[in-house]
Amino acid sequence: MESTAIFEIFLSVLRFAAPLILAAMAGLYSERSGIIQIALEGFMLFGAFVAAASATHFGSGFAGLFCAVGFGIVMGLFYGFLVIQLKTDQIVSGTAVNMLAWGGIPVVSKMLFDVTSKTPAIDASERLPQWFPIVLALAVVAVTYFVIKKTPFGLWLTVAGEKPEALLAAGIRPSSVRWASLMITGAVAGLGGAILSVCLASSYTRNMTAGRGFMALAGLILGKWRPIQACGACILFGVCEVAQLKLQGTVFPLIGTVPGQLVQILPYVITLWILAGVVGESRAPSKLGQS
Amino acid sequence: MSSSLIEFSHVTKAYGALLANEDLCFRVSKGELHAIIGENGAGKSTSMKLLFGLESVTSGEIRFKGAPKKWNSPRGAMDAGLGMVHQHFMLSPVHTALDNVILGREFGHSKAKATRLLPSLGLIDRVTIRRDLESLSKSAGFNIPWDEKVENMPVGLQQQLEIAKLLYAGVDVMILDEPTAVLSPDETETFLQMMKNLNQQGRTIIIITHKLKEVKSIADHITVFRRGKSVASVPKQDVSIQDMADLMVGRHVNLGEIKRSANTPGESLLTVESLTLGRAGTKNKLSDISISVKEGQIVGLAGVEGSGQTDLFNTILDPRRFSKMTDGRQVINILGRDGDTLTASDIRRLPIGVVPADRLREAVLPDESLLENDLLGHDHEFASWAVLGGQWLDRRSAKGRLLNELKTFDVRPSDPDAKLGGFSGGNQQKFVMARELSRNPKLILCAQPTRGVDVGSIEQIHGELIARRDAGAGVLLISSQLDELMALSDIIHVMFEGRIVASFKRGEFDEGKIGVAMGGGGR
Ligand SMILES: Nc1ncnc2c1ncn2[C@@H]1O[C@H](COP(=O)(O)OP(=O)(O)OP(=O)(O)O)[C@@H](O)[C@H]1O
Ligand SMILES: [Mg+2]
Repeated sequence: MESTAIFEIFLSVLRFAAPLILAAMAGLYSERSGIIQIALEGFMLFGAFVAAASATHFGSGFAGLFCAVGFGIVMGLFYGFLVIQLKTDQIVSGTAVNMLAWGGIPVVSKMLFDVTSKTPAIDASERLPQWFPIVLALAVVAVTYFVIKKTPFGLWLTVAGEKPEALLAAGIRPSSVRWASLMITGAVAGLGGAILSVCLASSYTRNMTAGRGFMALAGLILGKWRPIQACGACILFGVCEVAQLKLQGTVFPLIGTVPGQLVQILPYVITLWILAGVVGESRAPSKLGQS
Repeated sequence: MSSSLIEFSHVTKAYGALLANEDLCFRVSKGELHAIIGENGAGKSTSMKLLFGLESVTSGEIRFKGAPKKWNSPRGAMDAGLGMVHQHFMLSPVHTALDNVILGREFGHSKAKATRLLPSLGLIDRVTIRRDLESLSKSAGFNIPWDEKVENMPVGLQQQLEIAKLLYAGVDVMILDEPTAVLSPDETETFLQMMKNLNQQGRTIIIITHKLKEVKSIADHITVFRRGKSVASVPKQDVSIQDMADLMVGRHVNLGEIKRSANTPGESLLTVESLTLGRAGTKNKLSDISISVKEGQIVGLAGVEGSGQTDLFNTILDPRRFSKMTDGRQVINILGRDGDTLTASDIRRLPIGVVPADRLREAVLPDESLLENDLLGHDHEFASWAVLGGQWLDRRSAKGRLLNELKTFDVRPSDPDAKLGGFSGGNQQKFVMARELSRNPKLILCAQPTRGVDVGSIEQIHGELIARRDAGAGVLLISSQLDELMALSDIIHVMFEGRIVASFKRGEFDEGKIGVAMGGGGR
């Protein structure tokens, strides 16, 4: 009895963490290659919407995932066009992509479904199982770890973010590496959004990412831009989230009930606290934002 | 005659109106150790960038093995068997030595790929590569720690790593752009010996350098550049060091001793008394250092890199911050002021000239114009208080002043609006000297003043420092060039592991004795 309860809690932590982990891995590819990625929120939101819309259209949850990945790649290319081709400021362009998602999706939603805030519910039989996102997220972490540590592309990626001149001198164009990494970012972030709407819920609702893209970025920084550590940070956020759900409404001795908002800021307080002291210096890729 | 491997034929390279190379002609034979010398900005680096495919030729032709070269990118050049070590290190500091070497060649030689498991799966086989690298180390005489991050390696090893990159890629033509500029005399010797060996193994080596002694000792053939053209291309035995210097500059250069007045040192400008720097429990960075710089005196600091010269230099520039790291006793006095009361910005407002060793990091902003850089730390000189009592920069007079300064110190091109990063290395250094010396400082702190500078400009910079000394200024000089220290200093202190282990007065200078002290011996 006890152990199944703990297992339940464990699962709910991972369920909450899975989209965060995917988004953090997505961000990792572009940030390690030297491109600031604050558009994760927008990428995820697009992913969630495209997945839900295409899942209802095709009547298949998997079709939803595929479309979200495809659209994510397109968004990655669009972002690459802005920051690599046109060399615009990465923070500004990232914000623009986020705003495009916040403002653009309701418009398209209105055109397609005649409501701005919600897509039709997906058939219960077509929803993907709840364990799926967890396995998917952990698999992406493992693959990312492997790519960074063991493959030539991983090496190029990290050199592009640290000393692009060295990469060029070795005969590889840093911009090509960045294009590729942005496509991966788009695909994985799209996937992160998609599992929100077709696995963890049964439809897209307005702003359903609720800041997860930014939280994933915090997880990435907390994890020092490394796959395993960033995954750990996202799981920590999951723990905080589950803790705050359990703590809400609990009556403490002496204090009474704690306001929900106070409990909700727990993950952010912990991030600040850890960044300030516990993990020590967290060094960003040195060419981050300068490409 | 058809044995020439590389041939520049009437090559011109224009950057806008500026001709970096103009009608350049010379040839390099197979198996040769070919030195290229020339003044700063003569177009040496540019010509090699053209050959390596980093830049494209404006007109003319570069021929390789008798036919026009086919590549237009570094990748193509590497596939044709060329490799280049650039003037600035092309290494990623946070990656290991091993990762830097295999970058772009992750599977080693293509033959190996098919037979090994990991490469055939598209993965890097670091264990096998390590083994290959170790045998390469042995045959070339490297002692590179392959698993160490580059940022933790001394520059001498970093330079070896650059060479290892080329050998691992299997090049037979090596292009080296000022490879010894940042090396200590010891490291230089090791490095040059290594180059000789590689040359004897049959590789063609093209080396750009400002150190004419090196050229004389290792090169087979010498090409001299002047203002974008080749003015001579001769076998080594046909020219002396003096000839080389004169050919480069186009006038007679005085390589001998510079005349100095026989003055007696005046009042103390800088005193450091038993300075110790370090926290309890760790090894001291500086122990019990006492030096003084008087009017009309040049004080030299010798020592292998990392012996504490830089720590001493930085401590003098910001004594207050560093006093927190000691037991708090006041030990530094600058121009009659107590170091403990001086902030870094107070010090900049004293008549002090500062030339740090690492100019790109500590002295200038490469992306800004010369004018902006000239104002850096001197903005108060051009602040007028007339407008609303606020600070107003008088750019016009700043520009006028700068133009004069550039002419006096022969910085080329003397264009105040040009971006500093586009200048050749030597001209950047001359600019920093110009900025600091043109303010007539009483005290000059200067580290590696002639790093990467051509002989003509060295003569000029040395002349300038001596003239300042004769006029009563005091100079603290850090240099890794023993020649330079012995030519300029009135007294040389030798540092080793944060201590002054020996001091020599002018007239008692002895290269051997100083060298022994630098290595920690002879105490
Ligand atoms: N990218 C560039 N844009 C504009 N001008 C340039 C550029 N690169 C070089 N130059 C100019 O071309 C000239 C030749 O430069 P180069 O770097 O080849 O000189 P160098 O002989 O290598 O000098 P040094 O000994 O100081 O390294 C210089 O006047 C330099 O300012
Ligand atoms: Mg050069």
